Amino acid sequence: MKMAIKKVVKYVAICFLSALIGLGIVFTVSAQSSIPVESYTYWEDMSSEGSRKAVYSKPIFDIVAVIDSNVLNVAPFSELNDIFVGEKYIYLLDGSESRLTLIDKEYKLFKEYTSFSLNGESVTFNGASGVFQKDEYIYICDTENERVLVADMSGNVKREIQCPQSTLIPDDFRYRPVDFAIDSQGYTYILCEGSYYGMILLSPEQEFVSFFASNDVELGVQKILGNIIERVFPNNTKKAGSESVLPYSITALCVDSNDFVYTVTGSTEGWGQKGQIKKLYHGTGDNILKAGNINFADDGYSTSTVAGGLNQDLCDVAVDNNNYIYGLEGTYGRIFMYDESGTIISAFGGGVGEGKQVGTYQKACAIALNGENILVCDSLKNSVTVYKSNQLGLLIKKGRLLTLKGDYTASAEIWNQVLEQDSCCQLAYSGLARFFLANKNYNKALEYSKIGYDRETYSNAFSKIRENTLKENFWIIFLVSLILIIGIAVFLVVSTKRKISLVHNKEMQLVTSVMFHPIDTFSTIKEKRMGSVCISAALMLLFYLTSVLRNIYGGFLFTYYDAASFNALWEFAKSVGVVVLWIVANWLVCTLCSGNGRFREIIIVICYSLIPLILNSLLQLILSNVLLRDEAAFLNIINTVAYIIFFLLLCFGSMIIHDFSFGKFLRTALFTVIGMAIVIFLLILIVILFQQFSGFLSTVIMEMSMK
Amino acid sequence: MKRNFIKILILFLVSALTLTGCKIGGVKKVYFKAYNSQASQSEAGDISVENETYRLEWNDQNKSIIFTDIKTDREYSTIPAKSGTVQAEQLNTQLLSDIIIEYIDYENNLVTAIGSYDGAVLGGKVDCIKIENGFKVTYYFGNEEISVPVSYTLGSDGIKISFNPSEICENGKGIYRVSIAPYLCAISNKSEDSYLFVPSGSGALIKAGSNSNSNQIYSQEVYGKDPAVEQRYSVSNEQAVKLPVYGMKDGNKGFCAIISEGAETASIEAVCGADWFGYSSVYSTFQIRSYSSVRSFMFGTTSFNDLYSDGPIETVCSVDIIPLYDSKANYSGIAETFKKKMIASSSIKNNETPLNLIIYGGIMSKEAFLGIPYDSLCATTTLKATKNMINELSKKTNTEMSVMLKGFGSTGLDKGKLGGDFTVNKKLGSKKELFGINDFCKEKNIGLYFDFDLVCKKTSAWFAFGSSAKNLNNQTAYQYVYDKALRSQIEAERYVLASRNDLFDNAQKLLDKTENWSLSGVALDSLGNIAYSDNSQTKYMVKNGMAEDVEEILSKISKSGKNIAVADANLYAAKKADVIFETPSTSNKNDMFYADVPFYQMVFKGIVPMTSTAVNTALDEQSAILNAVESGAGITWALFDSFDTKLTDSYYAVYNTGVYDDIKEKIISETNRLKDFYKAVDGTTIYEHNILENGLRQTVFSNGTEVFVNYSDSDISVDGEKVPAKDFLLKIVK
Repeated sequence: MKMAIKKVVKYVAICFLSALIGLGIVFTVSAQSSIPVESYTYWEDMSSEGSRKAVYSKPIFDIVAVIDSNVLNVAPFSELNDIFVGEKYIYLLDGSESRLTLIDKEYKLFKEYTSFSLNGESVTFNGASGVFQKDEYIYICDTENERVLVADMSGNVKREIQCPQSTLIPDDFRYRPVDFAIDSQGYTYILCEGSYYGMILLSPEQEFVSFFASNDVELGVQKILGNIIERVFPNNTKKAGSESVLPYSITALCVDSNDFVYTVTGSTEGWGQKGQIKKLYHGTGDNILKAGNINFADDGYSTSTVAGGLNQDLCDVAVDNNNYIYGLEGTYGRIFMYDESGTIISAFGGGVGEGKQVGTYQKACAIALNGENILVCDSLKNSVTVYKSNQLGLLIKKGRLLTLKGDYTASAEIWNQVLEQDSCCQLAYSGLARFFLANKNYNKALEYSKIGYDRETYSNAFSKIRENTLKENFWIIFLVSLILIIGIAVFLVVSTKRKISLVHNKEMQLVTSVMFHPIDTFSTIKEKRMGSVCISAALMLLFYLTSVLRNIYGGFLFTYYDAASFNALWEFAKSVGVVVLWIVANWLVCTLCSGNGRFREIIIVICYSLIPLILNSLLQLILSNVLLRDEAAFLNIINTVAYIIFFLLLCFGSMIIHDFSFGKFLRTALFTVIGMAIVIFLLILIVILFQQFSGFLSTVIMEMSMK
Repeated sequence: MKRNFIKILILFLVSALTLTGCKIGGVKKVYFKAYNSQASQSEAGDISVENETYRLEWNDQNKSIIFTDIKTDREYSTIPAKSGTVQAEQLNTQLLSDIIIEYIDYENNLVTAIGSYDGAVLGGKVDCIKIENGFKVTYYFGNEEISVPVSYTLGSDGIKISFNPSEICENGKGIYRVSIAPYLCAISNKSEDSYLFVPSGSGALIKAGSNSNSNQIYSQEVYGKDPAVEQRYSVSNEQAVKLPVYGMKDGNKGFCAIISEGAETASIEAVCGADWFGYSSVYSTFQIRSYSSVRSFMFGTTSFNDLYSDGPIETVCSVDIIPLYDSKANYSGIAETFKKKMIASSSIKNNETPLNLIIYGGIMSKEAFLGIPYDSLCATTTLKATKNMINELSKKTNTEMSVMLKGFGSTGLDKGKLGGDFTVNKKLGSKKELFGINDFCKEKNIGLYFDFDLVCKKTSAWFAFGSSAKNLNNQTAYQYVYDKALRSQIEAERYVLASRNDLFDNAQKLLDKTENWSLSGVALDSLGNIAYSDNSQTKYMVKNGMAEDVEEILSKISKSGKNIAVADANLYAAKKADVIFETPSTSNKNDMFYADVPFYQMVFKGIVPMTSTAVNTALDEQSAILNAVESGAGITWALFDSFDTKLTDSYYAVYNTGVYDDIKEKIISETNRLKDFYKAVDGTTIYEHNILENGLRQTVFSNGTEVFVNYSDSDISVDGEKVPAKDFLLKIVK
């Protein structure tokens, strides 16, 4: 029996090996596949509005094949630098070797060109950077030869697209085509290396129309001020050292089935990158991506890799028929997938330039889509990795499309299935919240939108719940409110007439009266030497506590509390720290400016003035739990009023204790603020000095230990 | 008084500044024997020794070893061509080398590699003297002034190649790594019915040939990357080499190479040769000096310096190379040979349990009281919920099961006190509840294992100093968690490895603290799969002695009456365990690999019960189940009771999936579906494994039962029977 089994096995094994050779393609991931880098996504709006937090997600793409020269049974590639999926074939460009490899949609070799033919003569395209195909013509961006070669499928060059002649094209413009596209109307887009003018747009008749969609120069306040100063005070040295501020150049483009042009701009600012991917209306070049001003790559950069860190560098973009956008980041080897609204679906891939495993990259340079498959080209590994959506990926894509279309009922079942496979899917919670809202299950909508940090849906659901609660309990609420108002009014009238006071302690009476009779109160403090430092300290502490409580227990719609990122020390510095700084700086300044106020009095004035801010925090805490986002104006008004009262109290108090005029108060207040800045500056200097000294000490200790 | 103080301060600063002038990596004292090219003299001409099966010859002309199977007259050489058929001049000089050394030039702190052909045959000399059952060849690298004696001896089943680092002589330059017989297991790039085998993760095959104009290199350390060497960023996750074995198949012959001594210090390397190179090969390289990338801080900036240990390790390094022929010349034959040689003494333990659970207790999360932050456990599964899960699944599947409880200690899954402080976090339940589960499991014959981390701990820098593994400059060798997106170190999450000396004490602490726990089983996940160096002592450098230490610890725990579970374990821990959870299901997926094979499972099936990786956390659940079926490992599910948004902060991808209520129906149905399969392969070993048509794989078990697993999306027919897409076909021999 065993012998028989062996024979069968041998036979099958031989068949298998022959099959492998015959097939010409080996699916690298032959058994259970796995990707050596975790996929992740970003949860949005958790710790602040617009904030993002990377969260592991279950992979939604599986690697089904890796195509290289071995698999295609061709000579090794030198540098695969572009890939394009045409109508029938996939085009792999090895520009360094003037080599174009055509494979079919099943990833089997069809044909290879190492040169084209023009009038019987061989035309090579060494140094080409881009490839495109449309209507039986292949377009090669022959960068080094400053032309675009247009050849038929037999490899005969039909024409060359040279730099168009136009007065609109500046003399210093270098025509070095790197990417190319033609839309359904026949308009041609040519992207040139390093061009900050935008893309060259040619009409269907191949006439130059204009430069299309250049990036804007973004100037900060600092740069604008700098420019003004330089223009006002010019000199030769400054002129010689001045730099012209140019926009970042586009690095890749693609056109979707609706003729929208997608561009990607590579490495911009280290930390502050945003808006790298644009979806441009072909008529005007306007970016119509709703969330166009977000960072389409990761936040920040890795500083532990190389000195100075590795900048994010989006290098290519592709769009599928459902308007899902795929951005390829070349430095870290990531693929970022976004929906049409710019919401991230998933980020996967990796390798940080050193990837030796399947699904990691050394220099990812191009991305293309073959139906549901994503193809990623690596110019150092000389391979193309083929990703395919797994079951979870298909569900998420379908669910998100339905949610964006507003078909929440159809999407609900899908989102439930998604959550069974990936509990950390923010889109699923948000999608389900919208489903429950549409089905008037407001409590569930509230629950899911809170988990998914979907404040818009939460606000809508909360609005309905509040409306229903008010409707159902109108008379009770009305009566209770009426009784309360009447009660308070009666109490105020009676207590005023009969001079009844709830507070008998004279020091505490000062606290309660400061908001209503600030001048009298501060005069009493100055003249009768009243006011308590202990009460001041308590008020300062209360100020900190109410600020914290407002942050932690404020309504979900108005607060972004995240225990993991909440910094109590920072909150302490913002509240108590600022007050203490004011006290010290004001005392120093007023001593120099002949102020009469003593240190103790300054403490009492600033701390008693905090009362409106404390009350403001308490009010915000309560109201943020009952108001909607649309009603945020109320909170803003209360906030502004509180700060105005605080300023007035501080003003009156300071004028009285120092015996200043209003003008002198303003001057000393300004100097106090400057003094506070100097103190902060000195503190930072001390910290840096301490850090450097401790660094020096630790180095000395290390050297001694190594000795 | 004040003057004295100033004097002392100035003196201290002057001494300190003088010391800081010392350069890291300057010329060092050499601890090896001094190099002397006249030390020995070669015996004239060719030398030959033989036993009943093999003959070993020294070819003095080519300076190579020829190894012949007397019965079949098959011949092998350290030069990858049959002796006499290829002239040395025809090959690349690298291919003519019996050994390759990498040495440290202390002047510039750079490591350079050189082969014995260039360094000793052309640039120095090669001596050969006869020893018992073989001969010792000394390679004198003239320019480098290094000599390396290597012994080649015959055994009953093959050849043993070994060297003793203490016999190496040098002068000024120190040897860092030695590759022995790098091209003995070479195959021609033109050979079609051939492959190289490497035990990366579950195991992988490499086809000869190359897709680039340059050689492609594979290298993985045996038992995983040394965590004591700081990894500044994480490029990707690694499926480590768990078994010290490699091999090759070339037509009807092959090799099984077993690293029999010094495995912890070895790396398994493979070169996939470019066309001009002509050959692809797999071999082992031994690191004999420790390496650290150490941090130094100066004025707020951090820099890293490469340091190499002065002295060598004190362990003989050897590889046994066993020829395989005909039907055994494949990875099934390699598995069988390895199993016989390395774990033959182990008796067959319990059978695989069809259902296996890993239940996660919780993770640490930030909470705040009035804005003052503190760490608190976010409980994902309480002990009460755990008992309900086990009870429900036990009832509804009515099958044998094993359960591992992870992250139930004081800090959950996160690193904290050693062994989770040998307690149960109060938020998860009480010890009493744990004992209740233990009794319940005993009654139901369910294996319960409570995980203790005896290796990793989080502690302050001061406390870490005395009890943690060290770098070469005596700094604590910190471990890091890496950023999800940027893959860079997160300083706040760093932790340390227990000092290697303390491992025995830690195990004793575990026994003492749990003496009254009445636990029937303990899980030692980290101890079983982390091999690391501790440069505070020479004997622990380059992970040396880890296998021996862990085996001793496991024996001790085993003797105390506790069953032991390990996870994703290295050979030394796996063979001592009562169950291996989460056996590797894939290879490291290097670009060079062309297919994964379940080699790990082929070695342990029928010897130590095994379970698969958690199928619900896998990329493709169905494929993960098929993978378990292919290798006969029990199915594992990773579970927790409830989701909390705090888990989005977690660095454990396990929390993406596994909410019990969401998947319990699936667990029940899959377990019931696979019952017959596990019954059919109960107590068997894997006799043979084959990769058939694209996506179809066959495993033959020792009782004749066959399973055909179809990973593809379309049905495949085998002997007239259909193997449905993404399913399997079981053929039981009655």
